[in-house]
Amino acid sequence: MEEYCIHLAILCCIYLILAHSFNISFGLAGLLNLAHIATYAIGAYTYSILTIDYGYHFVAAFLLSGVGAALFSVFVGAIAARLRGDYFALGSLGFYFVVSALLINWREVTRGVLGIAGVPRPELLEIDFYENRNFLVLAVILCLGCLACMYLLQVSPFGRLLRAQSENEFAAMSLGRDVARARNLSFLISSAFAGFSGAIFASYLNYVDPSSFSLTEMILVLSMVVVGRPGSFWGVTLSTIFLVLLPEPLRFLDFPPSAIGPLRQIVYSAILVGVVYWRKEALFPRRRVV
Amino acid sequence: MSSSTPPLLQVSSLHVHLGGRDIVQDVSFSLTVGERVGIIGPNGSGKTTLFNSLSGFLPVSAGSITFREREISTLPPHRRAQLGLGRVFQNFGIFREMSVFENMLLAVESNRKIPKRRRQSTVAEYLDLVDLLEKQKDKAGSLSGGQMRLLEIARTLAVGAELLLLDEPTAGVSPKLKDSVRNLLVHASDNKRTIVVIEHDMGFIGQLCDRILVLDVGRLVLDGPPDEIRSSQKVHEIYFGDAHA
Amino acid sequence: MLDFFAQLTVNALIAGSVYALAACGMTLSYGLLKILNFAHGHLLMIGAYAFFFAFAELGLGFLASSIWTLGFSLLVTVVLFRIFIQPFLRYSFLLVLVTTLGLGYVFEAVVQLLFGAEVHAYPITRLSTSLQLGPVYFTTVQLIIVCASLLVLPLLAFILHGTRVGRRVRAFSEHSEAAQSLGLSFVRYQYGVLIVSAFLATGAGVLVAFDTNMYPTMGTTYTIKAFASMIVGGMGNLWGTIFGAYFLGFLETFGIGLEIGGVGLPASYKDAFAYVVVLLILLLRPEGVFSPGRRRV
Repeated sequence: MEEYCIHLAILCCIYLILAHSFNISFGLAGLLNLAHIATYAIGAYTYSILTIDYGYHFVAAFLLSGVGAALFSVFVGAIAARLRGDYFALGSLGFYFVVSALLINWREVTRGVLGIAGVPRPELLEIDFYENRNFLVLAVILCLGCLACMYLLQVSPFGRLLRAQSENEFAAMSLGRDVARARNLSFLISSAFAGFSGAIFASYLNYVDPSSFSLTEMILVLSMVVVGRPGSFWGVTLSTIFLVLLPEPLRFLDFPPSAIGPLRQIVYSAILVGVVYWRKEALFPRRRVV
Repeated sequence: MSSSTPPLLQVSSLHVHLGGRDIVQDVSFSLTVGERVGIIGPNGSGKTTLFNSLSGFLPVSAGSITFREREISTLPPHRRAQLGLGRVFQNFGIFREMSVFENMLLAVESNRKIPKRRRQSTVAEYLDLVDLLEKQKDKAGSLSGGQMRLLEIARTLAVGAELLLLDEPTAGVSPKLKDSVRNLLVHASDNKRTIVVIEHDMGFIGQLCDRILVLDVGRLVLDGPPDEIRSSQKVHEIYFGDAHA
Repeated sequence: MLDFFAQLTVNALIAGSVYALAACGMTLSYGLLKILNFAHGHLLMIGAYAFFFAFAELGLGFLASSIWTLGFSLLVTVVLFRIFIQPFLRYSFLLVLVTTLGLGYVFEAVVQLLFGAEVHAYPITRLSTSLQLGPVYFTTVQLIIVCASLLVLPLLAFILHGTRVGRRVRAFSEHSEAAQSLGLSFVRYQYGVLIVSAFLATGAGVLVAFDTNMYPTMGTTYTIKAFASMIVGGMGNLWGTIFGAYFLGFLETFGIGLEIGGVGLPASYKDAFAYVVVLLILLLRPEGVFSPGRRRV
């Protein structure tokens, strides 16, 4: 039982970083980047490849996962520059599919659907991080660190600028601010943190494969921000923990193991649909009536 | 104007609530057949919203709309159109990818009073009315602003509208064609159609309308003949400040 | 060598036909309603599984299974539309996109619960018999797919461009308020297009299942293919979408089949083509190859 709680706590740490990272580009800047889960994947794969194939140390690999994910976001920024508003979401979705296809097919690098196994736990200060309790401490420290950074960002002038350009891009531009640069920067930061959470994820599970980065995961992350109210730091925190813990009771009911996956998928998808349904005024602007 | 004929349109205490705000507040007026009415007011005074609620594209929060003695405020837009309530849109309600001919054909086909065998000739008649007969094979999107506007008005007449709501009909129209638009509308009202125009072009309104309604912040503040409106102190305030910051 | 080329062409035609049948429904509903229904591919999947349930599991005859499948798909489509799409038409198309995205995954998971995640196939019937025309091989069902496509799709295009009903649908697509001001009921045409769309998707799903097999995640796969076809040819543009579908079919088939200088792409990259195409077109010419230029704000 205690092991199980530790497991859940570690998952919470990972998803808290991930959800808040999405909150920066969606909640603050108002950009629905459906490729966000791809940056998470990049972080996870970068960490895995660096530690296994090149023997990088944890700290270096961790930081480089963030860097790798952030570099990747440059593409997303390019898409955002070319496609305005709602069409950006479409473009980012297309981009996600391309990355997903690469993860599955570029076997030389990613090992395809088999995934990369044997990703090591961190080696720091002679502590055995294969002991989950110790890993949890590390995860919590990293999580608090990342969340603190993101919180500071939210309340900073930069955060205010992001909010302003999301409400009225032209008004923000007229104030003399470089909105495009702010937007790209928000993608960079958002992706970096997604990369960090990916690294922790890879390190914890000791394994990455494309199925962990499916669109259903994106739906989950989207739900975490939408349910908690986009832009709200504490809202997103609470809703993330809630959504991570929500399907767990399913384990204790008598379902066959093959049903857990689909049931989880139903729960998360249904929640997203429900919340979007009830919050549609706040999330999606009305179309212009003639 | 005979006072014993019932009004064509009667709007009573109309309220339209949208996006958390009251866009149209307690507006009441009535129109008789053949009138030519102008609606003016600063931007944001609720003119287009008023039209949208009359046409049925926006729901009515309170009040009633009676057309030909029939309560229509709960009817969908197409039913109101079938009863004779026509609309010309600010952003040109023209089907640009279709030919001019097809645009008019759509209207003529939708008019049940025109028998099938007379459709082709009726299309030609209406296109000729607005000098677009030679252009009938052209894509409607290739027309100039004024030509599109004339097409749209002619189409509304062809479908049998008795009350025409026109939202800024002279926007994007060259001065020469503005005269054509005005003449077309006068011709329509001479044929027992009722015209209501939202406009910013005061000259146009002055020459066309015999009555003007002034809207400000969603309320109807003045209702009278053009001379009265022109010389009104209140209208001055509304447009040039003082009354509210 | 020529034989190989001919076979590839036929394969491309077959793939293109499937994509066209899948995509036309999506493009019609986009044209009319300006929404992207990401559950459209899942209608294909539901059609395939519904037919499987009646035909393979209950052992009902062909006709009975078809009637059941069409009826069931129609029910799902209408309910989906009424609750999750129609009330949202006033909002940004992203709302319907995200909603149908979520719903698609619900459908997928439900089907997985009911039928299992593994691949299923229809029982072998006459439809699987192999035919040969010269050097080219194909099956009966593949022939049906191509014929259906070549018959139904031009018919649709004719209806759209040459009849009164089609004219009205096009009018709604361009300016729905102006069309309503001509006395036309938007709701009636919404349902009309919806039903046609559902029939196309369902038929495509059953045919695909007969041709190859079915699996719960095929919904997403076909949604992407349909979406890619639409993006290439122009969203809402029927002929453009048909072209886009065949273009995609040819690109996939020849891209995999040919080897240029001894270097070929592994077959698993086949689906990736659709994704790359979507992305490229969105970046280079979002309105599609055949649509009139769109003002990008």
